[in-house]
Amino acid sequence: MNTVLLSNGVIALLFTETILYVLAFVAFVWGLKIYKNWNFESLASSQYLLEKKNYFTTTVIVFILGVKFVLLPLFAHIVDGLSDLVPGAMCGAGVISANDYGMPIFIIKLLVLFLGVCWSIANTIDLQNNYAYTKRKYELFFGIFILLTLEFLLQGLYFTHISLESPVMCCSVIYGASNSGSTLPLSLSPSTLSIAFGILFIMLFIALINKIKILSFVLGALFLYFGYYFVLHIVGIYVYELPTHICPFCMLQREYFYIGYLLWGSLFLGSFFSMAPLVLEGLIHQESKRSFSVAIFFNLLLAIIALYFIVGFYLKNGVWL
Amino acid sequence: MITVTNLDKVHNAGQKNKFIALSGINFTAANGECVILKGVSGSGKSTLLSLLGGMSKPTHGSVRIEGHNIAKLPDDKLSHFRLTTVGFIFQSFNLIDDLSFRDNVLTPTICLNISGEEREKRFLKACELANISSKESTLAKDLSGGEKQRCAIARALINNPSLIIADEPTANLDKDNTLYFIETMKKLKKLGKTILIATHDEIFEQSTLVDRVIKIQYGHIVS
Ligand SMILES: Nc1ncnc2c1ncn2[C@@H]1O[C@H](COP(=O)(O)OP(=O)(O)OP(=O)(O)O)[C@@H](O)[C@H]1O
Ligand SMILES: [Mg+2]
Repeated sequence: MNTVLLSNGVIALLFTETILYVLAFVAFVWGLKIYKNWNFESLASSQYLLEKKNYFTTTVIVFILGVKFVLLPLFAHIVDGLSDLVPGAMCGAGVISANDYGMPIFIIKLLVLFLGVCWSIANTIDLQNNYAYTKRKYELFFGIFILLTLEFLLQGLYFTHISLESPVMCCSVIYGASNSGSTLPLSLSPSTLSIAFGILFIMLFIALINKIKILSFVLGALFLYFGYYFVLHIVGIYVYELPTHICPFCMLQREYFYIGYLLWGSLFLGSFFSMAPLVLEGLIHQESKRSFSVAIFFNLLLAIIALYFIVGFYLKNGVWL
Repeated sequence: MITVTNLDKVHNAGQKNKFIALSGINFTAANGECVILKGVSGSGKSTLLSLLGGMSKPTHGSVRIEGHNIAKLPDDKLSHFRLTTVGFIFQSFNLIDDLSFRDNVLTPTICLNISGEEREKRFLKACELANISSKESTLAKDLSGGEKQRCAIARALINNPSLIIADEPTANLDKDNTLYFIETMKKLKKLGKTILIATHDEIFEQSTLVDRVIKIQYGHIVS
């Protein structure tokens, strides 16, 4: 028996994920029925029954997506905790790359959250408009369900295929060995990355304030991409106060006051809510005004935390890293 | 304007103890009309009123009030409809025993975003219509039967609803209080409110309040 599977966190996680998947499956089956037979104009008892089922199914989906939001940081936390078991790993970065399933799972989880955000907004708009978009809402859910299936399978494979014998590379190795070659996108230098990110932030801010959907989407996607490197390579080293420590996971640990959850959370949610309005436009031809404000909130939160660490370090020590 | 079309209500549909409480109900009521629902116990009067008041959903058919089919409203919109359009007076009054008269009357305003001044204005108006004053701070459980009902009426009127639904409002009242209730309803009718009352009290039919009597038997409308 693989000892990874016996760790409390993994058991709890897989157990919860299994329940959620069963619920998602039920919602999927009911969703198909509703999707096939939905006719809001009808006054027949079958339609009233569908409306009740729809209420139930919607509640189940809201529940699943809500728990999924909590499970992502939990997943990161548990993976991070496994670093005690996996040889060579000092934090989650080593554990996640212990096999080929780790990174895809992470990306799928993020995609599920993004589509989950879109679904929740679509759901709110649907309910405000007397079920005008119910069918489109289910189409989106069917897409999410496929991702959930993939994620469920990969997650099982991931936790059963973590080798406890062969040592993994981790941040300790990364910064010791390969610091010479630049790992930044477009071979940017750290200072150009910071400036690019700053400009992006301002442009996105303007796009969001003016509620320009397509621009918010494009800039939001870029913001996510560059934001990842910005948090990792710039903010991270100020969090660790160590210019060679490039790691997305260590900042999730207690030594750094779990600040990583806030940093990554605000980055992901900020860009998701920036990108959501365009997706919703395509899906239900509806404006979701609040999405822009939520995006602004999370983007500002990210900026404030980043500045706090960077400027705070400078004020304390009088030097930049 | 209320239009009820092909309305069915089946309790426990699809189960062994399935019960058809209403079937094929059709009727209309104009604004400002007072309609009485008559029928023996168990005929489906309360069931019909709860459908009309948006407190439960039909199994089939539609209930249109001012053009909206309320059976099709999502839950939060339905609550808003109940809150702003319907004043419901229950047979057993359904007051909250440990709240004062005043707080009972004001409960429907809690979810509305209105000023204290506006709230006070509405309270005085509702008490005037329901014909009760000087009981403001008495706890509901200490009110007399007649007062309890006037409290329930004031509560039903606090949000100025256009539709008033009363389910056996006089079952717990003596003759004087019953006549008093009818007088109050007359006042409300003059204000243009639509009134639906379920009752088997003969006294209603003799009063000038009532425009029409609908008789229900075993979940059907007869006559
Ligand atoms: N939730 C329920 N499940 C099953 N049967 C129900 C339910 N609610 C009501 N019924 C049945 O529906 C029938 C109609 O009930 P309803 O309360 O409408 O009668 P009513 O005409 O108001 O009678 P009363 O004059 O005694 O108040 C009754 O036979 C009752 O038992
Ligand atoms: Mg009854």
